[in-house]
Amino acid sequence: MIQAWHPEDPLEQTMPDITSTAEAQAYAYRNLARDLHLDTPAFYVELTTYSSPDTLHRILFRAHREAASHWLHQTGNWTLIHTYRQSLLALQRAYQVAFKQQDDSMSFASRKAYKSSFTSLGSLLSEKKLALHTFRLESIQAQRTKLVENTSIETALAKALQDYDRLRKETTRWKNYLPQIIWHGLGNRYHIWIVGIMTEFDFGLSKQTQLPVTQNKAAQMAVSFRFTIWAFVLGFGLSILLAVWIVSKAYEWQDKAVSTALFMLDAIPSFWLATLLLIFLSGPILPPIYDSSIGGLHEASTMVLPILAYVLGMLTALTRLLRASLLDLQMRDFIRTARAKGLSKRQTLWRHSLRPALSPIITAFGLAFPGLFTGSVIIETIFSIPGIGKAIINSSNGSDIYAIVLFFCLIGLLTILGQLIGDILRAWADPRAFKKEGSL
Amino acid sequence: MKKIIQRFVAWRKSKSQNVRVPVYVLSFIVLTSLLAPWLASPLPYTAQSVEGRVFPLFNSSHQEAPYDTSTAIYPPFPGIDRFKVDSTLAPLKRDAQTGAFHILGTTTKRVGKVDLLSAILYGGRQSLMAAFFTLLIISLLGFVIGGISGYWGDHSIKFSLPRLIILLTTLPLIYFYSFYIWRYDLQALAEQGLAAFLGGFFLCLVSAFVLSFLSFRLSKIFIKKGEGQRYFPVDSVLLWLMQLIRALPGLLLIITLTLILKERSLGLVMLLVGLTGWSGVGLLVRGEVLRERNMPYIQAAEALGIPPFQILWRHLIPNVVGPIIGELLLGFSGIIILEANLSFLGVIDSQVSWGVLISTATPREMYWWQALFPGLWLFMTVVCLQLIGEHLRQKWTRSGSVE
Repeated sequence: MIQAWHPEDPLEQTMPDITSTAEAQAYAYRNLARDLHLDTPAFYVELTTYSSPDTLHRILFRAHREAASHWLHQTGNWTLIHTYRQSLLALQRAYQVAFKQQDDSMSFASRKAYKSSFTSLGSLLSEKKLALHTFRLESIQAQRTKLVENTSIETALAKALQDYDRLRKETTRWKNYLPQIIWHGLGNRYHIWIVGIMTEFDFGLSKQTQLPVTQNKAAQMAVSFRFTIWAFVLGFGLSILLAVWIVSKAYEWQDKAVSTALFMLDAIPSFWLATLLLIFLSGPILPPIYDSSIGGLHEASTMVLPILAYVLGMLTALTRLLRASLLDLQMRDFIRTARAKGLSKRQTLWRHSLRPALSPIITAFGLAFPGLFTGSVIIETIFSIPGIGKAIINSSNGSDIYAIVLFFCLIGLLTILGQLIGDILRAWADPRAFKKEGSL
Repeated sequence: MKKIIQRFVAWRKSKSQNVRVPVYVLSFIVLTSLLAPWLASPLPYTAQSVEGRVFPLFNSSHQEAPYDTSTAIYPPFPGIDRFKVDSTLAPLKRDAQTGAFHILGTTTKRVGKVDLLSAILYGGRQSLMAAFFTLLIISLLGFVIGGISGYWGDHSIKFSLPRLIILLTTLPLIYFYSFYIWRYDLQALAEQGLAAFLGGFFLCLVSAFVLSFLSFRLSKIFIKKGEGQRYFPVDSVLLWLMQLIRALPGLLLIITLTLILKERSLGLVMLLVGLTGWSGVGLLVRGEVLRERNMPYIQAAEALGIPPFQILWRHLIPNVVGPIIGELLLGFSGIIILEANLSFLGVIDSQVSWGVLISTATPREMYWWQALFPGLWLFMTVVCLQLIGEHLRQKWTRSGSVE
């Protein structure tokens, strides 16, 4: 039925199979379009020409809709375009009925003629240039002579020709040069989409699997979290230990050695580090591929390398931040007082300096908080961890835009949450920062 | 030329001893990468042929490949394949008959079988050029927008609110008459070729400008001069924009944009990196300009009646470049890493780049040299850039000027 499929019609790419009959295809296309609410307008308001109707979106087939829009541009007379379209569709239906009625008794030549008229009618509906219709309609008329007499086809063809002539003659192109603002109301696609997200958490269907994109996301997040929680605990813990240690040896050779090593570590791109860990350290003891099905010690052994990659990636920035803020505090009066009272350097560092010095790495924690649930795209790709980071790359490779929208929303929410948690922790670490002015 | 040499000698005698090694290493990497088409060769360093041991790289008479170049994958040093876990993977064995010897081994996979050293040189050429292109975009946008934001501030530019409202309400009409009604004509022009489309689009733009001007003149009839005047908060708006861009997740944003644009070429992806990555430089420039803005020499220039853009370009920016150049070098290393990341993940569809070369070494096959050496080049570049950048930054924060 629809001969000229639109080459870039996204619906066509999602259709289950193209091998069935044309009618079944058209039926499936219509159903799919209705499921995706393509029979509703795109947005609440629309700025168009005065000639265009508020019902253009009801033409479901994209190729036909675009053709009708082009015809509007050429004639500016929607009423006549509508009648012309209706008469073309009626003619098509008449051909279909006649073809089915005389299916057995038809000769090969007339069968061929029927089919060719039918297909050229189908392509007429998606032919954008109205001037080209003359030739096509004439050829359909010429084919009529080879066919059996059929009054319904005769009348429909006559009407189509008449409507075409009227459309070519009675143009109102001036209507194309006046603006018009159409208010579509709430029944539009954007409204349905955003309300679906707000109320039912409906982010749409995945392009790759045809399942809701929200499916499995909690499980994937849990997988990412298994790694990142260890990485965060170890990374933050190690960096605190390291920073306190190098500050206690400030400007001595230990400090210089560790700082230089961290500087070098910072320059190693994380994907190279992860690849090197995988190549040089993985083996029978540390399997390279994460496997959650086995459980126990074996699963733990598959988690070692990714966690190591995470920790080495975070260590430098955290240690440097903490070192700077700890060193800054060593000159303060309260530390000098504590030292004067006889506390050792170690005691002042752990008991007096650490808590007020934490606020930069708390900020870093707030910024890194989304990563706790999404993991790292790079590390999850290299170690084949089925978490959110891997899902992001998979949906990117499958051009799954709905999934990407979901990930963006997720990361946005987690970022806000991270800022909130960071603020609360900072208030605990340094209450002065949140006191009202003048109350000090 | 003589001047450059004199400067070089002065620099060698100066105190910047601690960045001398990074500068030399970086220059070596950059020069060898840029000269890759003349330096790199796919031929092995030495191979065994019927005539005995030959050196195809140096002897042009042996370049007809008297050895098998298609099948085997060579490690850099014969016999070092002990990292191999799975001994059934045969191609690691050096071809005993040909005995070809590549200096750093050969690559496989997406790149095809090439001498690794030449692939690294070509990859460096691509990575460095792409990163430099991006750095240009970033610094252009950062300097212009940060400079405007810092120089004009919130209380310099006045506008009339009623006039703005009239302009904004006529904006849909301007769009309608300049673009919307010509959309199918533009489509037809696009089918004729890019030049025709651009010509048509230019006409549309001209019409939009003319209509905006008319709307502006029209608003003059209704609103008297000086009525409803208030300051336009240039600084606040641009600062908000910069912080917004800074808050977006970088890697994910690039991935999404390439997905929407359905294009993965290096140029486009690096353009996107540039367009989304300028806010850091912008914020720095804004801060520096704010600091310099009230200096006597700027006030003197203003008093002389020099137009604002000239002050910004000729007086402010040159004084601001110094403290920021260190940050720019650090940013350059960041862009190189990002480019390598993106090509490693396959977001950039490129043939040869350091990221792609590292990604060819999948752990199953244990071609360790394929990951190690390109990564080493990347690492050296980044370390040198960071050392130089850090040095310059400290120098500026210490003295405020170069020696």
